[in-house]
Amino acid sequence: MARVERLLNLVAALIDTTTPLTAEQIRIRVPGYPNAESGQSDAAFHRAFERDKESLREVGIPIETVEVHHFEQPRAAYTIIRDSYELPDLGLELDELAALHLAATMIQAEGLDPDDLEEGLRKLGGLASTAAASAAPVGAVPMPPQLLTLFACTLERRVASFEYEGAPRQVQPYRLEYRRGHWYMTGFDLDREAQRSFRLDRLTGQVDSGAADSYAVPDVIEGVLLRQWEIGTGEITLARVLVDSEIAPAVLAEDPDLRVAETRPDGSLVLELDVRNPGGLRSFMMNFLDRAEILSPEEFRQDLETWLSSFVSTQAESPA
Amino acid sequence: MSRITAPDRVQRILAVIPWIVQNPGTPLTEIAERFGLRKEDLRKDLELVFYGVGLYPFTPDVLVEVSFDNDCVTVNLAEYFHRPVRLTHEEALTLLAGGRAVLGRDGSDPEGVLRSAVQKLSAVLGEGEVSAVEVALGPADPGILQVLQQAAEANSVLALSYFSYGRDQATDREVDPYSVLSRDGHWYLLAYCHLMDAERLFRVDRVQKAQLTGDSFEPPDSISQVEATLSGTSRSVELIGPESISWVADAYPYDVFEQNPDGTVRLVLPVTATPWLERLLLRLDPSTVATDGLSGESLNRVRSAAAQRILNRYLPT
Repeated sequence: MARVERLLNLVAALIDTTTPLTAEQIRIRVPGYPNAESGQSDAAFHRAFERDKESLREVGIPIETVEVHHFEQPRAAYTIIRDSYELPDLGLELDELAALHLAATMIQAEGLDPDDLEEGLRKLGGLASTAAASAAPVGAVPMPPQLLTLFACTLERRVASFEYEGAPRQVQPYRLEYRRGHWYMTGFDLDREAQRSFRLDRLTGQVDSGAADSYAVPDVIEGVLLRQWEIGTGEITLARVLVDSEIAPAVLAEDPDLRVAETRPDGSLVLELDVRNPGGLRSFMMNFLDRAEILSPEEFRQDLETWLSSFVSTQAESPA
Repeated sequence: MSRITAPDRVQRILAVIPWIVQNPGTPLTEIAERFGLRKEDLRKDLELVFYGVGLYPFTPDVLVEVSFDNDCVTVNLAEYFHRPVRLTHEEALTLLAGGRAVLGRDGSDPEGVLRSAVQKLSAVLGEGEVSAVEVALGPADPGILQVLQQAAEANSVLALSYFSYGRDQATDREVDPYSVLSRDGHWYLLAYCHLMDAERLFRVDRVQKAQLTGDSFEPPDSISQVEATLSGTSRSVELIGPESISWVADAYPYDVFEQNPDGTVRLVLPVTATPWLERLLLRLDPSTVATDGLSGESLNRVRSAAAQRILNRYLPT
């Protein structure tokens, strides 16, 4: 495994050096490269060196390339900056490491290599949970490639550029959320000059990332809105909705944070909803068919009646 | 030596060496166990570092020194390799998302150990006040989830009261619970249903009651997980309507999705039950034409009857 030694020595040399090293300097300092004495060509050396750099970068080792000017012509030189290489000590206690190990084992990251979990844990101090070996996965979360790029953008505060619903977007990502089976990114849309949420599976093409630390994240961010009647820019109208007792438990189980204004003796519920989007409310009501009813305001009742009547009249026109 | 590429082995060595440097005199067996490595592999890694790694000009003061004393390992080296490499984005995402997902479940971290671990990880990743990643596995009553999980582990037969939106009613049934899992933002119980005499996936948020019957069952050798969802549907519906009905393709599994030159779209999708069909049809633009996929009959009457049933609630009494 001569290459393993060469790679380790290359890393050590690049960490240790105070000035970036050119390829020629590396060839002298790091044993194991094709050299002139044994009749091997410069081209063979450069091929081997390029391959080593690429391999190390792939496993996350940050080799920097800089231009040095102390030769007749500017040349590329290489170094590893200690601050970007070294993982600071998290100060994890053994039980914390074990809890993290167990948690990450219970969630299947679909689309990521399972080795990433073990590698990450080794860097944090080892695979501390004995329970993790036999733990059954309790959940699967898809990790598409776009998510990974957006995760890097979010952590490093880089502007992300991508195509969404046929239009190019430039967004400062604030947060990634997995809700009801989909990934959403919330951020500041630079073209629309407003905060927006994007569903990741509707992004097309690749995500390009800009320079690091190019914006600040506000202290408080509203989450992704998933209730269809809340999505919109209209004024809020308070609606009261009656839900029959047979379906009440199922409605609350699906969205436990719904506001219950009243529980009637027969087990039916009166819900209070903040409606910005009456069309969304109508769509929500259709989930319950005739097991629910809009109590107020009158205009929403009217709106629903008009909508439903349009289906009834369609039938009257067609031959029975 | 297990088969491993040179870069992967380098990665492993660079993760383990710093820990050994900081914990001198730890038995080899203990290190191997902690890092999930075979003892022989670890010993070979250390020997390789000992014999082959150093700094130019490779005088003794810049070489790595590894000593085995009664199988206890001590490593001395110069300034390099004192800290592990920063986490890659893949590693950070796996750990952070896993931690957040489990924290999101009520009662999953009674001592707060995981919470503090995730906080420490977050600080090192530079997350700031707002967390960069949140994961919600799905709504579920923690009490019911726990009963289901315990029953699946202990092979205990369960009595369930289960609300089916497809049929719009709660039914009581006994099931053999196989496993509990979160998929696509919902928790599911995979179980053998005695009522249906078949394997079924149950949405955990629609389980209204779950009790142990006191009986136990023999778990099967293999479980046919995938087919469990949509089996037993032979009905389908064809929809032709304006572009605005395309959201249906995002929301439900479909067999056909076509965009026509005249701007309309055509969809064919399986129908699980009549109430499901009714609530779908009533959410689509009224100009949408819906026909039964098999008989080709218009579904206007189904749609109209459902609309009328709801309207009855709104009529003055």
